[in-house]
Amino acid sequence: MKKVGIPRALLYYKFSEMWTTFFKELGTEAVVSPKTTKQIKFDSVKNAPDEDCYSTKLYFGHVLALKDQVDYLFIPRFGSDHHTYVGCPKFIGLAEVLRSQIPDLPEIIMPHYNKAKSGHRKIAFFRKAYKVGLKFTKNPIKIIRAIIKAVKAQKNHYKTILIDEETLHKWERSETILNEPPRYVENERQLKIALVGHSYVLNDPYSALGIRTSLQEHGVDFITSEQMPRNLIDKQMDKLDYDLYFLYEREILGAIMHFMESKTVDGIIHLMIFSCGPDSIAGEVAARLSKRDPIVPLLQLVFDELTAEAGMKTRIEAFIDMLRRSEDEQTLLLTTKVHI
Amino acid sequence: MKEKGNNYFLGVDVGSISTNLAVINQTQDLIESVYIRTEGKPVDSVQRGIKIMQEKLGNNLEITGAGSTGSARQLTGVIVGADIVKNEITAHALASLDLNPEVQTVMEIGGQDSKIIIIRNGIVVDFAMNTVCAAGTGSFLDMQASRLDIPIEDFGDLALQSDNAVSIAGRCTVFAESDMIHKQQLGHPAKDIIKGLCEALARNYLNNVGKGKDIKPPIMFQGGVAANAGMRESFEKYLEYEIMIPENYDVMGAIGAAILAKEEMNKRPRNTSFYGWDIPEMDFKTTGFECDGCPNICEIVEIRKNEQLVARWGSRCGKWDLTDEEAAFI
Repeated sequence: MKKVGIPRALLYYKFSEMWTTFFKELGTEAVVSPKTTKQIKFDSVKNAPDEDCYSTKLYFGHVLALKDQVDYLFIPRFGSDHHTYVGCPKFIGLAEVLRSQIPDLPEIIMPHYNKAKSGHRKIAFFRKAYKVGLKFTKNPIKIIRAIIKAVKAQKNHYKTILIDEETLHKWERSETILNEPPRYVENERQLKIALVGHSYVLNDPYSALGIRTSLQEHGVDFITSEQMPRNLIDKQMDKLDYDLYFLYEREILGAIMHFMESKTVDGIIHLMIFSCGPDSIAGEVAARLSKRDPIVPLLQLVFDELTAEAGMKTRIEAFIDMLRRSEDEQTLLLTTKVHI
Repeated sequence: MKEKGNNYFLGVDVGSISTNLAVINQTQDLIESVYIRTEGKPVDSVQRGIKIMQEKLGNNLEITGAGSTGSARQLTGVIVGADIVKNEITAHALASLDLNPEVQTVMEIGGQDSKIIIIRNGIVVDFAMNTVCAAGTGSFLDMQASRLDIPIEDFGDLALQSDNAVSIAGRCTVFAESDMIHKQQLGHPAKDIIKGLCEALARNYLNNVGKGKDIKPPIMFQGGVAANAGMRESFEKYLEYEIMIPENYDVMGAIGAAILAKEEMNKRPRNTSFYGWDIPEMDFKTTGFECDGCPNICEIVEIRKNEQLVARWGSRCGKWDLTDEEAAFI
């Protein structure tokens, strides 16, 4: 059985279901690289171009972890799956950059798909997927079935991850929990936080230094930006007097703006990746909006390979303390000193 | 000895450069404080600090609650048996608010860290810490003082004598140092260079840590660097506000930790887990090893008190954390 390697980085966190299903249905073994480890980070930083963002660098490590175990690498040149908005240009160049940086890679399967710029629609998608399928089987029925199942798997994935408006409001009223149940902390109010960032940061405990677990342990219930209902994101984006055309950044800024407006969370934690262009735009916009309307506190954390874990922990702890104390009536008693 | 109706709380703040201890009473008045250098050995310095504190207090004052803070807060918590372990931002904010409930900005510059805390109506609303660069913190001033062969205690006063500060690039300590050497080789007197350095560091702080923050008076300046009168003057020059330096500027973190301990014991009343004044006689050993269970190669640290395992941390997966049974045994 042929083995197709899929690096567990960047868009894998969006399209894992589609990709793995597709290759399995074609009768190949889809090999996903292990979760990010210190070794993968080390290999990434050593081999990736200096100017790339931290998440793109990590992609290199995942490719290196796979290269000797697989017959093919699947690195699509992905432009966008939206008719107007685009992904990151780095996604398109990734396969070629990797091929030139690391000479002895196995054959790279790199279909180009771009709905926004090249006008690729359903038929183009089908044609491109079919061509990939032909590498592994001559049986057209098998390929068509693989495509249908893969698309279906992706739709199901969206269904499980995206929540509808009703569920969101339920969460805002603290009637439901969407992620890891927060630990109970005696005598402390449970906090609600919006955790905002790229899917490949939110879901990779290594790059975000295990923030999901640490929030859970601090007794914080959270919602992530990738769960947010799309219509609410678009509604917020319409308020900007320019068109933010980075599809995944819209998700991030939209989520921040929604919660700044609704004021239904205690705070917002914005995870940013160092030297990510779109992140630096959204980060600056978010910081300015927060200055204008500072009711919901915003904590922006920038991650890269040099990020010191101790400093991040201190910031997160201090932020949680700040949110807890601001509501805590006890602080009032403490700050007014009684002289006897 | 326990005085009737009075409770005492201990706060320990172990930072990169200094180890501070403070004991407060029920009404949050400072009873006694200790400031010593950490010298890279936090365990030793905590033990030394406790011994000095005990000698200063002169009796075995009974402690009702203990808190730890600072970059070695987790380790310190294990060594003293702290009831609460909190980050230094919360600790500093509480100590400043206790001193002056009106305070709106707290600037803290320590050995390696510098922070700014924005407070409105007695509540922390924003904060920032220096990120990767330690430019303008205590250890850099220390280094420059010893390079110029001036005792660090005289550094600030010397700066005040100058009325002609030279301009120094404060963005990066490495460049600041070469800039200082360049000015010194041109023949500028030491006092002008030092004043220039203070101004560069104040500018650097305000442009990096204080960037985008709404700095409003009253402003409190604390941490070891607050001892430097030159820094205070430079801050006043750029901020155009008067800067308050609390009397116990160097132990504010420890006072904050003590206040947190008091708060914790009020909130969740119980007997303190403080080990007592014989901590200096106890034998603490820390050992480290690399876990080879997965490619993460976590660095695990184990702490033993009198040969008995009291804490273990450092693994990402949690497999080395103490089990409930092990923890119950302690």
